[in-house]
Amino acid sequence: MTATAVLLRRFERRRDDATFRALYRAATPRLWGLALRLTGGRRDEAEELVQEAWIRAVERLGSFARRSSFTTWLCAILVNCHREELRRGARAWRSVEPDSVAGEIGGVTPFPGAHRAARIDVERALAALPGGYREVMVLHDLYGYTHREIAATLEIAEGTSKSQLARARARLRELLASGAAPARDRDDERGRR
Amino acid sequence: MSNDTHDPRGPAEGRELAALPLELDPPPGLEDRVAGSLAARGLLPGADRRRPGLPPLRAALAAAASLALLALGFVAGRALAPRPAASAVPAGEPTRYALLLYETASYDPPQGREAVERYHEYSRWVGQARERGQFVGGEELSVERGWVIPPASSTPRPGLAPEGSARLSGVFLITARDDAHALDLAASLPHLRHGGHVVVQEVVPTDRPPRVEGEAPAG
Repeated sequence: MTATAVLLRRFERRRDDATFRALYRAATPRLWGLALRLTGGRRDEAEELVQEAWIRAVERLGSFARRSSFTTWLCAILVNCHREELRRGARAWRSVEPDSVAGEIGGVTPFPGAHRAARIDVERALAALPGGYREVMVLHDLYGYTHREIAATLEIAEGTSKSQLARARARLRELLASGAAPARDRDDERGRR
Repeated sequence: MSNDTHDPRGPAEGRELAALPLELDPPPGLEDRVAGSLAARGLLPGADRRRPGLPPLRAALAAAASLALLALGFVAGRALAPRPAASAVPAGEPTRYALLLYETASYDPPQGREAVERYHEYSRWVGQARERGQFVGGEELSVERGWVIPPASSTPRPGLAPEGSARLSGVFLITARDDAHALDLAASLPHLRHGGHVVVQEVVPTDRPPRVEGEAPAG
């Protein structure tokens, strides 16, 4: 049993603040990484998503069937929250070109774990993808969702997921080739995969 | 979740993406905000409970006492006087209570237009208490600026609460039949729904000396 699973069981029994915080610290780094990527690096929106995902998760803890890890379940909730926000129109898909991404970031990467310039380039290019492309690419190429899982989560056809991914990869290639330097060195990997 | 074997990543962008960390350090304040939101919805006990010995609650009570005393113009020595054994108000008279609204770590401050909605929410509560004849007075307190005067010093320093204490953002004075009634009224305050804490304290009338158990009333 993983540490997160142990904490989850303890939290289900106790429902106390200290255990929740331990669980939060175990599961949130992945959730935060996903939220930042889905929102194209917009921290306010990412924070709202993480907060909403945790609220829903704690509210619906009884329905967690343990078919996946708790963190995976949390991530799925977050993706759904993101989709709902988009559907409500509270947040528009915002695709931005690399230059404006750089301007928005203002030289300070919103991804604190990504210190290397090359990694920042990829993050920027990812943030610059049109929203639908970015969502599929983040879920598939970064977080390991299958097309079937993406289709179910995003309520799209598997074929749509595949074609979106192909277009996303092509666009990312263009963006990286148009200015961002390719990754050169991954020896200082500071993130936790 | 697993990668589709039939749809491998493209070689170039796949390598770039593979180098990205999946986990990133969330902003430091987010944990408190999430815990506060859960507490405000009754899904977690109050955020203060995570600290052993409940110092924030004690500190809040101490702050409430000291600020209330300051506000009412009490002299400092009064705080050291023997405490009344029971209500200081003679039977039959309505008792006044102070409802002290604290912005603790669990408090969810309004953002943008929410401030207007929040204002109307609190105003409705005041209006209803007034209609029932229970509202004596009270206001929101500015959290933009304030001063703290430490003991044994006359030098105020900018601040909204003594060190380690929660800040007070509102004071309401109400009348109630008894403690239970006052607590019922306090429980309906919108402040609690937004994660704030409310401290309820009986107001000791300033025109009567305190009664001490076992002694005849003075004056």
